[in-house]
Amino acid sequence: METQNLYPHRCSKCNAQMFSPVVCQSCQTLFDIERDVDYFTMFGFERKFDIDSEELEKRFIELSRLVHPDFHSNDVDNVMMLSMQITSELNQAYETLSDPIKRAEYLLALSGGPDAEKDKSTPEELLPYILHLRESFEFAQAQDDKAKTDEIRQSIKVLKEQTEQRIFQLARELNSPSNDNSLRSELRKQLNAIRYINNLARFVNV
Amino acid sequence: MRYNEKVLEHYRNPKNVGSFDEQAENVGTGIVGAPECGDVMKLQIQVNENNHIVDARFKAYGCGSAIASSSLATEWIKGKTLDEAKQIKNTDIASELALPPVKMHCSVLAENAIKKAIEDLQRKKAKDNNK
Ligand SMILES: [Zn+2]
Repeated sequence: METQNLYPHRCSKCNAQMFSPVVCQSCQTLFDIERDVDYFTMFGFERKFDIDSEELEKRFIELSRLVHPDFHSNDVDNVMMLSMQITSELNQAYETLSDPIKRAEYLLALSGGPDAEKDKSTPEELLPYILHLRESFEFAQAQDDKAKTDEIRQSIKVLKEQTEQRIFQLARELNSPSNDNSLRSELRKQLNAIRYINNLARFVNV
Repeated sequence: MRYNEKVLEHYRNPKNVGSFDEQAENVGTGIVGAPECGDVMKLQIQVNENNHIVDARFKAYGCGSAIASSSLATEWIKGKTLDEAKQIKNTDIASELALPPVKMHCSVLAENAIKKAIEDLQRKKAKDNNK
């Protein structure tokens, strides 16, 4: 994947090329990034859904090492503070980008889409179906009907996978410049759906 | 029972848990959810010929506050007319149960469930009248 040097800045201290705006890998200078640097940029990635997860992990480890407070323990106090602040931001960024659902949710927010609080819509008939699966599962469990509980678990697994695939597909489309409001609402809807489905999946141990 | 005891009962021993036949023409069903936490709630009302709510049931899959909110809501709407039941506000439920701000959405869920159940019933009745 061609993602090298997407952050095309040079270090203001040593003029080396930087791949992340938070730290220079040549002279280890830390930079107090403005609030509007998104998580993708932090890791030197393009702002799009598909990312190379091995590369992400590699960069996370490298950046964490360069930024780590132990590494800056001889620096002045405000650099120490900055190192701790960037470390916590890096952790949060990594947690978000390494999970595809969280990454889709994050991309939706970046693109100005609604959060779950604002738009609680779900695909038609999802909630009744969730309730139905849950009630049937409880019933089958009370009857000790192993075949039935397995069958319901399988249905939930399929629903979860289908919804995830739909989310990934929509999140990929979000990159294109033609993204419109209906795409954002549809992604919001599916991201809402996956929360209910994951709750149910946890309940039945899928 | 002291006031506090009565409130606690909705947590420890929720009232009206269960279901009515969704197809029955005197039953209205409201299913609502809170995507923030993945809670799902079903609330059902049963009315007599004067459109008074004679009984109510609920199932809530969520935290204790969601269950207590729906338990209280089903108790409150019994004996009320549909219009009276529509007046119930989530803030009334929340203050009765002393819900903390992070649990406000549980009471919102209960209020919305009542409204949906009433809508469902009215839709059924309207269909009946058009026959
Ligand atoms: Zn440098």
